[in-house]
Amino acid sequence: MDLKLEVKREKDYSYVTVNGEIDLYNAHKLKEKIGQTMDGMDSPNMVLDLKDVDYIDSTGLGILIGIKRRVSENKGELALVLRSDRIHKLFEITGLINIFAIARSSEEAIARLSK
Amino acid sequence: MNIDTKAHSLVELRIPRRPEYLRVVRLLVSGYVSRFPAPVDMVEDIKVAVSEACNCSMRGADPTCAEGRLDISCSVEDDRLCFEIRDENATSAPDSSSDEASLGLLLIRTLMEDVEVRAEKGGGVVISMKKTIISV
Repeated sequence: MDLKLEVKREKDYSYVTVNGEIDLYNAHKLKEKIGQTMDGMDSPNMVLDLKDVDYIDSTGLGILIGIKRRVSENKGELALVLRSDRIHKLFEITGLINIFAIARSSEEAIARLSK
Repeated sequence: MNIDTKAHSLVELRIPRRPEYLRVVRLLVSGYVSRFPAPVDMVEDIKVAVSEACNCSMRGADPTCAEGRLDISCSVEDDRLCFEIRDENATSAPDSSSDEASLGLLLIRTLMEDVEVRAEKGGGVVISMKKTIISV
């Protein structure tokens, strides 16, 4: 499945929904689109909704680390929405579960930004 | 568990060493492993690991070597599934200096058994890995 991204800008955060598979082939699209989104953001906070991502590889995980770094540099917060147990397992193995704020729903993710 | 290895013969795939073929590799692995009474989680683990091994090779590929190819093989040995990813153009072990590369190698070593990276005498690098079949 091709990678699709949708960006909504709210007053206090940007909400980016990602759909499809993220791998070495298409991960650069995610990086570019998020970079463009961050350039035009009013607020440095971001929710990255990955609940409709079927597959992510180390390239995608590496890009998420880069996004997290950049959001932090801008003094913002980043929250991820993850529902897939398989993808959650990859976050556990790599230790990324300790780096990212991970939520099961969009409401929970948005709430975590304000904490 | 007893597996009739004759009934599960070797399957090989040769692809251009380009990322647009990663999905083909995942489809192969998924299809191959699904022939066994394996849980879905195990299928997914193997799919991730084999795809990461291909990533290792593709990340380190010489951009001037546009015709590079990868050979992926799937086979059965006793009660274990065996996978090899062979890059005949590689000259050294996968680089693990970037976040992505180190995460990829970590995933392979965590999800699979007996992971080996070896240089071939005649040139090229092979990443091999195994997984014990756990019946559903």
